[in-house]
Amino acid sequence: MYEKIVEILKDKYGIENVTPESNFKKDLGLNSFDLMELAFVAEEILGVEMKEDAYRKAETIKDICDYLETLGARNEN
Amino acid sequence: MDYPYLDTVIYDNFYEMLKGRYETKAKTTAIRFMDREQITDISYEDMIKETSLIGLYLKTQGIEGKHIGIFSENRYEYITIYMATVMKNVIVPLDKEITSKNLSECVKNFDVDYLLVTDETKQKTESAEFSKPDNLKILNIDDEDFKKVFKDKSADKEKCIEEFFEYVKDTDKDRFAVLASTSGTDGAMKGVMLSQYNVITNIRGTLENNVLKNPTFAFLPMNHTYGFNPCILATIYNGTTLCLNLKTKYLLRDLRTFNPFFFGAVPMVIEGMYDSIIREVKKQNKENTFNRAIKICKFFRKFGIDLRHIFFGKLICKNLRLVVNGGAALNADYVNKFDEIGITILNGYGLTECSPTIAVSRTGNNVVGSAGTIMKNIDVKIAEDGEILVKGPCVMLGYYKNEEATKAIMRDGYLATGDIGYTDGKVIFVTGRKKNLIILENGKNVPPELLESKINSIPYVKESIVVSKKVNDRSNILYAIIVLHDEEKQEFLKDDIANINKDLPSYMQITDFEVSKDELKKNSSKKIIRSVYANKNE
Repeated sequence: MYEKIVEILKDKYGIENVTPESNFKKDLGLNSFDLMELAFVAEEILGVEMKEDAYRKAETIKDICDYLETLGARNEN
Repeated sequence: MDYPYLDTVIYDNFYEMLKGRYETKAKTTAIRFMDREQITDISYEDMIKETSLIGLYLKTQGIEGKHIGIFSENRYEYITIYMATVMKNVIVPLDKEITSKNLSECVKNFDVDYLLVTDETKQKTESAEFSKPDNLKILNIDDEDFKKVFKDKSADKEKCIEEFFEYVKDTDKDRFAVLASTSGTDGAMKGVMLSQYNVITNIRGTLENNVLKNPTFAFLPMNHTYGFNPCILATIYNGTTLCLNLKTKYLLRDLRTFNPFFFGAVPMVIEGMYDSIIREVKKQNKENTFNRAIKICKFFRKFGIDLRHIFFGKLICKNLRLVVNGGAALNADYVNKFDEIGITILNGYGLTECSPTIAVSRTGNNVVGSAGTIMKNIDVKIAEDGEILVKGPCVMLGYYKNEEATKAIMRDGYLATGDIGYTDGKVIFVTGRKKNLIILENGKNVPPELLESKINSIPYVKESIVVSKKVNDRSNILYAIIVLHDEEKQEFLKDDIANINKDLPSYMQITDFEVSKDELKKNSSKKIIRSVYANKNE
């Protein structure tokens, strides 16, 4: 899951050199609009539907990966 | 050059507006939305029928003069419930992002009798932190029993609309009808009492400044007066089609699907959309083509030939011509950037206490850098200290059960906005704020004192200041600078800040902090000098 999110961040925002603990706002400079777009792209790729409250609460890459795993997101490459 | 206000039909309350739309636009699509790839169209007559069914249900239950809270995500029923309630009861739109604890406080302070929740929001009323007043009744809009009320297909359309109109025709336009929440001009949570006349004349004002062609698009939270009044209600007043975005993550998809002429937004969305376009252009290695197209369009515009929609129509959607920015000030660069691709960004200015719009730029007279043209019948004057004062039919009835705050905000019949600015009598310019409110790029207001008092209540904290810190060109975070009594306790600070954040809505959370070894700088009366720390940049 982590690799998928890293791939989206690189593809969509050109962001590299991240860690699971990277904070979306503080470390990656993403705002709520970017997170909303990220959720949309992740849903398309991973075949899940994320709850708005849940993805907005995610502070780090790890948070969003954990949440996606609870949704049973597709993890195949 | 003089730009007269546009003529519009005159409705002075919701009954007149709904009756007018029923008589002239019955078959026109009022609302369009997409849910799970399925587009639904609802005509004015069907929307008014559902409004009538809810209104008549309230009547048969003996619910009149009550406070009806709506705690819901954006959805079509929000609109019908609002309109069904406002003529005989008081609608209390509540922010679905607030915590269970804050919800309890709002319900109690605003004397809510009935709270309407949804499957998505009901959890917050089921939490242990929600303390339910004994007399509060909670209804779930998604419950089958409630759905039967407004989705009653067997009800005779004409008959129930007539019956509802008969019931509400004597509605008092000046009665307190909407209780909107605001963090106010000083940051403390308050209830703003608005009448139908406040709201209706205000939405009419927006239509007197600009023509809203069909269709319009709305995605801002419906509990905000800015999200609801000039975006949603103005379209209904106008009798055109409103396309609703139900989930913000589908914003760009819905824009492309609905292809609207207009929408109202906040800086974060306007800036985010443009940055998203540029990222996509770069990703496809079309940067040179994009820049060349801008130059070609500029050249032809000199001769009155506008090619922008031919070149750039596919970037967002072909029909989009007008976006109004509100909630917070927009970086003026984006006005020019969007103009280059054929979209006019207009600024709007207002506050909940003014229902909310005071001024909005006009397409024929868009003074870039201004906050817009003052709307018809609104009197704006500038106080000696530069504060913007407002008088007119949009000004609230007062703060709910807070006479002291009402008195404090009124100056000789004018409402003191807390903003500093100037005007030439037609156009208004806002240059700053009198008080310490942090206005985020999504239009939300954060009173720093509220966060600071929470941080200062940590026993080993001596003092603190909360500021907005720039992370990059368009992102800001809430950042605390904290001085400790006991530096040995610093290791606990991260957890204690996380605990504070737990009770705060996400937009109000402290994202990062630093510990300062030096005391915060103060003036002679020992107050922290905020300007030293304000807008802290990296």
